[in-house]
Amino acid sequence: MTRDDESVLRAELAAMAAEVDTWTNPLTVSQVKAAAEKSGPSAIDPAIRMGNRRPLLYAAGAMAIAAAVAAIVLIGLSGGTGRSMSGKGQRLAMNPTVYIDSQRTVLCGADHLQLSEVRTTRRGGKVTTTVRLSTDSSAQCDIFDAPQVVRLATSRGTALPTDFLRTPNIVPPGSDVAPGAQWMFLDKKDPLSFEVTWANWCGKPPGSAAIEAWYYGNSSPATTRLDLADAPGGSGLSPACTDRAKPSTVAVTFPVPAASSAPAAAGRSVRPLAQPPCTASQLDVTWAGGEESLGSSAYLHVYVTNLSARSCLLDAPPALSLRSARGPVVAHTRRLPFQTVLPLVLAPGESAVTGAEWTNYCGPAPSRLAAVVTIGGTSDRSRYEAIQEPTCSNTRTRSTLGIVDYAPYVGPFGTSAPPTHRDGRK
Amino acid sequence: MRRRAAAPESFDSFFERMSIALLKHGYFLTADRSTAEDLAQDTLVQVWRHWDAVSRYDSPEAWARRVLRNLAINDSLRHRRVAIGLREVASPVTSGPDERRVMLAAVLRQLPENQCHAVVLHDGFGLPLEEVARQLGAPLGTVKSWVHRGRAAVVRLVDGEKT
Repeated sequence: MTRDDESVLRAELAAMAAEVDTWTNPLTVSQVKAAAEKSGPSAIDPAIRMGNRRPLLYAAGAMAIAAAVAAIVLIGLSGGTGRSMSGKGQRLAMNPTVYIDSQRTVLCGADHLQLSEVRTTRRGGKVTTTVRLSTDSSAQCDIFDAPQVVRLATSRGTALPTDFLRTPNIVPPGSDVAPGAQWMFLDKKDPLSFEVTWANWCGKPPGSAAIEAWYYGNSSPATTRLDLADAPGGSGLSPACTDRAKPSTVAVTFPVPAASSAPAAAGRSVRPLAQPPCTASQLDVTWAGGEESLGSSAYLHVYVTNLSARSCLLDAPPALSLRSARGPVVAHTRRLPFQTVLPLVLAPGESAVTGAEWTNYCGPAPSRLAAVVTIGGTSDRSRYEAIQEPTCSNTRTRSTLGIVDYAPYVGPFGTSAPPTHRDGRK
Repeated sequence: MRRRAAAPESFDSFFERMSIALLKHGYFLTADRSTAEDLAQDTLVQVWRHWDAVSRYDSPEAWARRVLRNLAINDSLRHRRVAIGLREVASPVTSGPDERRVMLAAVLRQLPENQCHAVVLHDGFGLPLEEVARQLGAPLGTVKSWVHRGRAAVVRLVDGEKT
């Protein structure tokens, strides 16, 4: 986030607060107490309740998750392989219909959920499928969070032996909404999409498969066929076998509006397979660094702008490092768990932004630093800037650079202002 | 939520101290005056109904903020402000709340709870980070992280809503 973003956010909130200050307070103590008397007693703590029927939903959710986990364990045990979801035609017992508020908005049922494969690619030894999630129902309905369980099945309906890696955003049984979890509204015009990543497959390539996704509150999965053919005569796409002792895994990302992963309004499109990957030589790296240093952390924002005449694809998390004139400053990097929007197409002149949180720096104070972005084995760096390094909080632990994935940069609050600090070296 | 040993304050005192703050909080999360007023009143009703317990919490205001956010999310689900309101507001023939504010309120509601409260208290109410940390009962470093991540998420989500 740049200073501009921060000041716009603050100014907007301050203006809203100032506006409230001009209102006559419509609330009185007697009015509140009278309303409480009128509405009767409540045994449920509203701090852990989100709607008139939300307790029912939590109970259903807890049951659904418990059932799913039990099914996984039982299937895994019965298969004797230590792998889960190996049975055929397993049905997970979940509540069929749950209402989420007094207007009886319905969770999207499996009958009306439609999955479709957008594309399947093999990257880094893993097979990743982008799945479009839509509904054919004329009524609006809601889904909650990522699918609760996803598995792969053969064309005959037999589940492939894979472990489902639960998405961290799902609701823990009996608790309030988990960080990042949210309801999402689904109708015909607002499809969502998520990615299914299949890893570590040591068996024969299945050739084709189906993705089965159980959504919160559904007793049966939504499914889509998956084309795993790579080329005529080939054996088909499958993940690399990385460890025979470990199970094959399937993971999903949090769903995002299909429009935002393909932000056509911003002039971008989701990956066409023919799109060449971006190279460092095409990109200009600029940054706004250290402006938001808050003691133990310094927050850096790095922009990459496509200065070439052709579109290119950012399809990997940012490889970002810092260096001073003397050499690299931070050795340890980690990826922060933000929602990813990769792959991202950068049209000519467009920018993407990534952020980094730099913590615990105990070395000599660097007078000026540059951000170095490595793409496709080659690097480009920003200008050297004077930034305020984070404070040293522990001399025995490493200085760390936590990095978020690239996101389209369209300026503060959707304006089209270009990133600042362009070095114009290209 | 820990309970405090000191004598609890009266509900009337809490009301005097918090009613405007809850109105503002509701306005930040909805960008709509009448909804903000409803949310503040509904929250205070809940506070009053649970006052015996809530008044003994370390931070009754934290409990109230949490209730208000829950009510705001519930309300937005009911009225589909995120999905429909934006379209309505964006319509040239519809007069309504400021589009940017509606969008900002929508993305604030989508933030994880801690980030939402941290951003609202720090950037909305202008509280110093140390005071936000005290109110949220979290270490200062954690609150700094929430503020930073919340702001970044706001910008990202606003960008997403724009598309």
